[in-house]
Amino acid sequence: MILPTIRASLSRSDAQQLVHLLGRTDPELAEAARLRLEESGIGSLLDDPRIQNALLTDPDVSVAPPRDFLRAGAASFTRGRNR
Amino acid sequence: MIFYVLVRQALLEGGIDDEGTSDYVASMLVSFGRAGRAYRISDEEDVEFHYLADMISELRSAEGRKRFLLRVHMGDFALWMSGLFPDYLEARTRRKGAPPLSYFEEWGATGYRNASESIEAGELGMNTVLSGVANQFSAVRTALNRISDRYFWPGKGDSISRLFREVTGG
Repeated sequence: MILPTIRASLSRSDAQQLVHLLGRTDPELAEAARLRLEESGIGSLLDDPRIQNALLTDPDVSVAPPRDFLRAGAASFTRGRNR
Repeated sequence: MIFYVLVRQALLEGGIDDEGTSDYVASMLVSFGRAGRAYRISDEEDVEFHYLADMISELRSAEGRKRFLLRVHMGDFALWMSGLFPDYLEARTRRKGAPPLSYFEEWGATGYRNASESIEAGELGMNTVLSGVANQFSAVRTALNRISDRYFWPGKGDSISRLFREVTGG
């Protein structure tokens, strides 16, 4: 069965990436994000409303476009196999 | 990580502040993005189920671990379909009289709820997560609708019905 494993798989480099994304336009924002990471953990950065847009638009983020990924997974039923 | 962030923030927007639910739903999306996994109850199973009705039928004779996996998969499959492809389901309802979103909500929540009460869920430490998704199935589905409408299929579908669906869960 599918287990909730994404949070447990997040690494130190993921946390650093979040800090970079939140502070990419302003060193003070980067420092604030770094402090939040130390004091409250990675969850506080993941919950930041700005992180979603930063992840989706940053050219340096090395994630496969989620839309294409899910569309590939759904291809069989969009060809008419489901009802 | 991107899937977790999308799900987590969509759920927070809908008032669901539960990291376990976010993690489970995001993990399900990642798994179902792999070819064929959305139609199999586990990575080890070869048999595919393309309809909720077939899973319900299979449950009548299933026992033990397979019964548990079928119930969880009913929830996963119903949430995946009604959450990410609501326009497709609603179009089929209008054109062919196929089951409405409420059918997926009802059977999805039932699958998760029954699975959460099983011995297998307890052994995996999944009782709370599964019952949480079951109890908030409609709200979780609505959160996935927001992701679907905004990021996966933006600009398509009926904008009024999309807004109504996102706001009311109907």
